[in-house]
Amino acid sequence: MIRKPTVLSEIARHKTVYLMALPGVLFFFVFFYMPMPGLIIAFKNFKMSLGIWGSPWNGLDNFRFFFSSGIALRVTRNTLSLNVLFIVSITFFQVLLALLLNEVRSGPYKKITQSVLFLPYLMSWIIVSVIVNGFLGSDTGTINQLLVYLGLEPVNWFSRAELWPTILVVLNVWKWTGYGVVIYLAAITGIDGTLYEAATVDGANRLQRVWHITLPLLKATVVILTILSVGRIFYGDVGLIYGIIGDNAVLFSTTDVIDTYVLRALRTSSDLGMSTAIGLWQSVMGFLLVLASNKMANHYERDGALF
Amino acid sequence: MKKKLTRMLVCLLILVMAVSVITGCGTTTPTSSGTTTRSTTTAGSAATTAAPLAKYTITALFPGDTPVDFDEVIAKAEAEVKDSLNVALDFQFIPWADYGNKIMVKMIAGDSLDLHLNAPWLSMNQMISEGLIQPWDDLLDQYGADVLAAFPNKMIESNKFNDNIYGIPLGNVIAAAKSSLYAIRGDLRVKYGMDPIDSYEDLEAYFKKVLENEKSMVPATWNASQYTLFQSTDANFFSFGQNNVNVLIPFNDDGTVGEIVPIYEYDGFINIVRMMRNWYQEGIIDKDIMAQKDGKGAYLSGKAAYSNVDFVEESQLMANVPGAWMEKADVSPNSKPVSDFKMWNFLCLNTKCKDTERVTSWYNWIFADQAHYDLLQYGIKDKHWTDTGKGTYDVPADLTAASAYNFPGYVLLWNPIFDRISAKSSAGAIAENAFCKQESNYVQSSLTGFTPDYTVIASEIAQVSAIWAETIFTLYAGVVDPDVGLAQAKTRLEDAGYLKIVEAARKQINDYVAGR
Amino acid sequence: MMKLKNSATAKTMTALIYAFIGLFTVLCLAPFWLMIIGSLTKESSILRDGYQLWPQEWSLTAYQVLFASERVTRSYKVTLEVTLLGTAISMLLTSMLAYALAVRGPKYTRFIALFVVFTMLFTGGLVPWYILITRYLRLQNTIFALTLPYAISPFWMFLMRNHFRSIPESIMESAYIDGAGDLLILFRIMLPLSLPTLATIGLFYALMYWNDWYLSLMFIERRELFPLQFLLRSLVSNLMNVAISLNPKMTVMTEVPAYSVRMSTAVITIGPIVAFYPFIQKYFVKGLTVGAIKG
Repeated sequence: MIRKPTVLSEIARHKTVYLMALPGVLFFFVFFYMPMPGLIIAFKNFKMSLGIWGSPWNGLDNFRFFFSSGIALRVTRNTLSLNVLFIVSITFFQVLLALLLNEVRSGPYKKITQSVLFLPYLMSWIIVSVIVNGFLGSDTGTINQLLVYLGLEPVNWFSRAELWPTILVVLNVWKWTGYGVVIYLAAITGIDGTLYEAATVDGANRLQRVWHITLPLLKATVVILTILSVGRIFYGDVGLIYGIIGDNAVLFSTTDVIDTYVLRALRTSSDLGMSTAIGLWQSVMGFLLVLASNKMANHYERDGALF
Repeated sequence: MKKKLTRMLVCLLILVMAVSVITGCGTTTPTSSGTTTRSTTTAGSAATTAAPLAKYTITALFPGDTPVDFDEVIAKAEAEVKDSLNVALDFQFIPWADYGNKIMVKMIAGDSLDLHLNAPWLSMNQMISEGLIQPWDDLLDQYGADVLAAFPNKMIESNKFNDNIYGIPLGNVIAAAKSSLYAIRGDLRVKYGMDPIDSYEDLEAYFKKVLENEKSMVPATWNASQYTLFQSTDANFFSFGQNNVNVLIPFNDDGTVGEIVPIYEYDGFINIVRMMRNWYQEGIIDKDIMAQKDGKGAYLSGKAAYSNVDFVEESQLMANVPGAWMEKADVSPNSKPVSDFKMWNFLCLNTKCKDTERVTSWYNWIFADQAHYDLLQYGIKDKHWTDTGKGTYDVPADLTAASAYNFPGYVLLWNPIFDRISAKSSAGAIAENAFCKQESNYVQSSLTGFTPDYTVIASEIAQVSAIWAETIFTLYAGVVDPDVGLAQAKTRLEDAGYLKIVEAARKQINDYVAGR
Repeated sequence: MMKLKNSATAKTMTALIYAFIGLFTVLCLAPFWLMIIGSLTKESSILRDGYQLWPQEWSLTAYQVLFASERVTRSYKVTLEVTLLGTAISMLLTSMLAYALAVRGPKYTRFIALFVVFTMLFTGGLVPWYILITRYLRLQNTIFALTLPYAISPFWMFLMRNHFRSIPESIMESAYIDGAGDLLILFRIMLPLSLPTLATIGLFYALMYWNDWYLSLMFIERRELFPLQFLLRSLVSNLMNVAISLNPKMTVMTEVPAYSVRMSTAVITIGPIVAFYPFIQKYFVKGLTVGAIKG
């Protein structure tokens, strides 16, 4: 007679593993799942005196200000396109620089470069915006002064919305490359050295070694980082965009994202329902995308899947 | 082997926990008001009572930064009332940028907090309607005689909400300065040999002179994506709305309101827009104006000849640019300002306050004697400030940035009678200060006491305010063509529900005026 | 023969690689340099000419103002405690969970992974979270309010899990055969082999705790417990206000370095990290995998 496997027996079989997972699960349960009922505020007309449970329901009213505004399309489009640009460009440069640095033999050069590349990650966008303003000012900015010196026309940077997706991409690549290099280099050092030895013996040159050994083994890390970024694709990078662009309305057509729009709309309103509502929508969309991309990952690159 | 390692791990965990508890113990303290003792007896006014009172801690949260030497000042203040009121003062400061959010979260969560700063432009209206703050009326009648004596009747009456005093109106003047005042560089005007400016034409001439003669300066700049300065060619107008959104309503000379129309149809606005466009194209307005994040700083460091600065900041200008001084040009010198005498900041009392009599009595103590006010506002006499006569003060010669006591009076104390101005203020600053304390300089607004209700148009305000900067602020800054911009503004604002806001303005204002 | 041909192209390739990396590096360094120089420049010269690559006039006022009161030194101590304790708690919890999810046998770990992913996307909002921590857990004004709410970052936990998974199964299998339990495997085998990843994630956690000001804004009201970043935030805004109230007749001695202080606060925040970083770098070396397989 074979006993049917039950939940308890499964747990008993791997009890150490589940025990090790317990503190983590408890952490998430307490700090994330216990406050989660607050999500229902999205569908309520929240009154402080009545609290979360006592406030009356108001259906989809809290979503109205966003979806019937005509702006929803613009900011969603900006959020998605900017994030896609960010994910692609940042991943590209992170992997590229990691591979290049891996080829560097000189110890000191490698160490110093890696440290310096990491510096932008430590600088806050507020400080960076001060420097950006110094570079792109119309009259006194460094870039324009250079252009004038070369006999070219100065550019009115802060009034040309079409230039900013590129500028934002450049800034974001600058900030995150060092961070990614650290992660990818850590992954690369985990690759068995004998594989490279064997390949060299077989006559593979540098490029071939990278293409056939390093990259495939990095794929899993790239995939998982991408899925994690995809989950945030409906969230605008407020730190970057609000820090650098701020309230400069002239640039909104290409840089206004969902979060900055909501920030402006609800700045003096103490209505929690409306901000929770949009946040909920962003979460749901992100979650669906994560499910989809995870499914794809399970199909093509099992090791990179989230779950 | 397995058992041994499991035991080892458990021991490690316990060790980590123990270490953290020990380090935690060193820095753990009970919540600030968790151990407050209830007052045992209070009897009427703040005068001495028969039995010694149990100590009560007055907790307050304010925006700003903790002043230098604050502990010393507080200790002195506590010492002075030790025998009478026996209070401890627990005042916390958090940065302005985070204040609005935090105060809301704390009040919603029901934290015990006796006093805090609030205002209609923060979350005061909501707190009143939710019953989170309580009125001061009865408490002041019983325990706050000196407070009521210190604040001019006009101030108290004009700042009631639903006919109750829901917040002590904090202001060192009784009304705002004229809106037709523009802070220019007085020294430059004199340098060009110009007469005092008293019209928009003169102002433009001044700007043009700056453009010609000062190559390193931009004539005018401000944070145009965050607020507007030149709002209307009318000298007096009322602004209905919040979060930057507004319907501008002109006042007649007698304080009654004029026609209520959407902003893009309001002449005062249209004239300004055309003027700004002109100025932008001539180079008077900063080319990067929409990206400007520190217009005041530009003026104060000598890079701009006009910004939205005030006499309070004049000392910085004079320190940074030798020979410079601030002058306020009045482009509408013959008009009297219309005012509803509404204040900008209020001190609010939590409904959950455990000892309202004590809190009120203590607040009354501040206004019982000028010396009490001076202590909290200016610091320790002769260390942080010196008395130079009634209504003025000065700072000791050896004071540095690191030792200057700087209490933000507008969160707790400001009062037009008790407040002092710096002895070194310029003539212009003194004159403006005196002007703003004289009731007779103002025409009473017909909307005094009017409290708008924005909750009925909350969704529309949210939608409109999100596009306000790109439609209206761009017009104010002169960066778009007026005809194109006005037409666009009309379409987009109407799509976002602006007309509902205008309707609400009409209804509420007409109802209010009719009801008087 | 093949070697000769390779060496010429190899040399140019190498040169190009070095050049490209070098260019990137300079771009990363430049703003940092501007920041340091800005903190050492006299305020009046910043007001006049903006931030420059080399100071017109040197000045240490921006730092003097910061260290004038012992508030800053005290907050350094708080931040250090928070960083050490927080990183220790985080690394312990994260590695245990990451390992548990990395092991391929158990059936329900996939569900736990989804459980964690969900929290990355959905949040109940500020107010319920605040009420949980202050009213129910009563963590306000304790060091735990600064170290527990962010204890595990799902992002970094998954990175660690993936890394554990990439360690060849053969090692684990031979350990199982030798009778080792999961805990032993984690601590004696996995962690030593994962030094680079651990160093990386440990660094990220440490940085997170070092830079955070949000938790202290929400939960700390006692001034002795203010960490560095939070204190600096209010210091910067206050300096702008102090400037307003000072006597106009005062001269250079009382110059209020509002702009240079913005830079010096950034420098004293980043400074210790930059100084500390080279010491952790040595852990980003080749792992011990080779020896492990052969052994």
